[in-house]
Amino acid sequence: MAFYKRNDVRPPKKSSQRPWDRDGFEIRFRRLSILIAEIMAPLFFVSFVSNFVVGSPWMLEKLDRYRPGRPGISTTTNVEKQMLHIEADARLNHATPKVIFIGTSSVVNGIDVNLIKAMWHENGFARTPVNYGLTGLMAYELPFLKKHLMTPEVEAIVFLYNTFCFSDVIHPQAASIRFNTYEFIRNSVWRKASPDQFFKGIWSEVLFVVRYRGVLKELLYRLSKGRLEELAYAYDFEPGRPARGLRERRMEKPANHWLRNAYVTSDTDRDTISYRGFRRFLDLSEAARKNVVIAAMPVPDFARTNRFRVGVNHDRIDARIEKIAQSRGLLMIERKLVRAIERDDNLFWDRIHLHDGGRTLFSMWLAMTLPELIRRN
Amino acid sequence: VSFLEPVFFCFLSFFFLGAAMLRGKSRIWFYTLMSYVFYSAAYPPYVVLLALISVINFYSGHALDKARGSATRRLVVVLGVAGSLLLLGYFKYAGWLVQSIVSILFMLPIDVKIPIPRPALPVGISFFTFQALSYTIDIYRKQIEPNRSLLEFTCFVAFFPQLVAGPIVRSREFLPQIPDHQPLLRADTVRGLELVLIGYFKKCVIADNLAPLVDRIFWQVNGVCGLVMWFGVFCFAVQIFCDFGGYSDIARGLGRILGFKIPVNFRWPYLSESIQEFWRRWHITLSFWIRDYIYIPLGGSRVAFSRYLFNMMITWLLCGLWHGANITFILWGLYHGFLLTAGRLITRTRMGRIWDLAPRLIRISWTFLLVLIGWALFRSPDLLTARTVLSKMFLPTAGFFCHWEQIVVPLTLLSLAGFVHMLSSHLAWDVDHKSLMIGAPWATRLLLIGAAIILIIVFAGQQENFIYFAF
Repeated sequence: MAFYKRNDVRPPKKSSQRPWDRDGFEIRFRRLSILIAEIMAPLFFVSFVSNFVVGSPWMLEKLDRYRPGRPGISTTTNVEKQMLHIEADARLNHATPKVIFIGTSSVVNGIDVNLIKAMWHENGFARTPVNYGLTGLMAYELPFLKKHLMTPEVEAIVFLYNTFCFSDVIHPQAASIRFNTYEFIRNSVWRKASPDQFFKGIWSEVLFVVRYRGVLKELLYRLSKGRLEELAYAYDFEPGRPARGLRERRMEKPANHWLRNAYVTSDTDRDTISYRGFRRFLDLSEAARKNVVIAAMPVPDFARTNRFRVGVNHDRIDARIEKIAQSRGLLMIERKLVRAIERDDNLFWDRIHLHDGGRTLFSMWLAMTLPELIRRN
Repeated sequence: VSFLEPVFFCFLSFFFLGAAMLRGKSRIWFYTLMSYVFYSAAYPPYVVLLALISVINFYSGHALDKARGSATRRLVVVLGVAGSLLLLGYFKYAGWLVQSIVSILFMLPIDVKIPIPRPALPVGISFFTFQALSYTIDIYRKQIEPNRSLLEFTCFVAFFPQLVAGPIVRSREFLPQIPDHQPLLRADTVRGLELVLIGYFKKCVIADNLAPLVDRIFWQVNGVCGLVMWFGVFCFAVQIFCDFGGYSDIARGLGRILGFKIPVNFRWPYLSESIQEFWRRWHITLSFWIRDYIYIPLGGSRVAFSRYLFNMMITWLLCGLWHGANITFILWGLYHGFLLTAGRLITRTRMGRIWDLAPRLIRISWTFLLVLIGWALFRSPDLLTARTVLSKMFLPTAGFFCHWEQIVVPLTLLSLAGFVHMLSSHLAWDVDHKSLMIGAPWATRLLLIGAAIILIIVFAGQQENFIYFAF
């Protein structure tokens, strides 16, 4: 046996002779305490710093004020930024009850809350309109936002939908940012999501720095370069820029884009995760005694047959939403009322977003239409 | 499951809890089963492959122990090694080999219809096959005795921290640790945590932020100028080091927390003063594996020059091939074989002696330059791209310095990182086994580790898989 090296692999025959078997309760308890003190404690510390220091109301207000504009940031950071705004606004004490406009990026770019507020106050309707537009918002995500939408300050929620909002598709960039574990499981959204999206979502829900890491990184980067500035405008497109060239450029997207799937799966009689989520949102609103107004967001006629929407029966989707609204006794602003806007190409930036003029027109129209509906509800 | 996925952290919490609470054989059962669960997340049927490689090598070891006579022993080792290599060869090289044969026949021209096998590549197959092979060969060489426990051997092959991307741990380094290992000892846990955090920082903050930049440059090699090409290759050198080095650090850190010492895989390789030294510092476990199990059995360097040349080229050809079935990997391996041979020859001449007198910085820079050229080959997806990349780097053209202003800031940052890298080598060269934070009060440790985690979360780049997962 002389050829064997010093560190031979020669286990004793009886496993009971091995050192590992001598681990009594005391040793195991010590290991557990080391696990807690050296590994779990730093994680709890991170959680505390993340949610109660970086995510404190004071910090949130600062982050919201300096949140980056859309140009130059990724879609993920943009989604984070929008969500951050909602979180910050939900904690603000507005002087008057809130009316929330929620929907996709069409709402981000298509609603001028300052204009609406001015018109309402002029007409003695003292409410604070707020824009909770979120890029690519699907109806299944509405219940995820319940803690921001169902606060006592909120009087009404105006859901302005696009016809892709009722799909069976998980938004690839927003899946883990707009997340609520309970609703995710309750509405069986997990069936359409990957395990990775699910676990990322939990991380993001638990840790503020995970949820808004893109925004934090961007702001730290700007701070290091001395370029930290207050947000100049809340829209994706700089106000005042001509729309024509942009509109054509933004049409160039692949036909296998997730948005195409979102349109196609919305046009169905089946129960998608989004139709299910939408009904759940209505249930939650009813339980919280919130006025809900449902409205179709204007979409330009020139985009009706583009690559994303071709073959999709939008009237069928509108009719289904109308039916759901009627069954709940909710008021709905039908698409036929905004057809005049849809027919005018010049009111749009691109296939989906209203241009400055369109925004002003649509906002004025909403400002005039909504008070009556909200009062009647 | 990758170390980067959130689900991994749930898995890890459960694993640590099990390691703390279980004892004796049940703990090894737990490690093994959980490692199989970890591996099955990629593609469940391939756990059979992992088990098969373990069983082949375990029983080969036993057969070698019982075999009498050198011919029988040789037969057993050949069968054992061939069994493992056949599995590796089928999954990794069969498609490429058949495709190459079909292409050659097509050029002759002989039109044949051969179905090309395209099995999905099992993650980490090269790593765990080499680990298991070292056991069989070591028993054949009578360097170790066979292990009597299949459970312990299976645990060694499947141990999840090093399973999918190394380091390639040898049985004689790992198996003796099993009976004596003590998980969650305070000093080891703190040191392990340090390694894990360093690894995540390297991977998530450095490598993942560089990855999109490198990808962009290598996707459009025709559209970039020479300077940007050099910059792209330089970035890739940093990316691959931080990616693979980061993985190794995480693996070693997790191993340390669980009470196992996994060998060092990188020792500041870019500060090497020669290519020989580079291979003693880069992917150490692979280069030593190749030295011990391929190069030395072939005869090593103590043979006639022609035989030495043959040994070198075969060894490095296989090293290149180990990385993947691609001509660029083979060329990269041969390139390093050539550099090592040339380096050895030059050392004996007057030029070599003069070169030894050159300042250290010059020798490091020259070696790094040679390594960079190798990375240009390694990163290129095909021969045509490699040719374009190298011609961009070396053929002076009119627009060689275009876009220089775009690389000033990243280059400054990378140079700064290089300086930190050099500094760290002075500070931490021999402190691998010592913890930097163990002497600090618990609250300070808590603050430092917490701050490091937040820093990594916020500054992490877009998540990319580990480069070496593909090997």
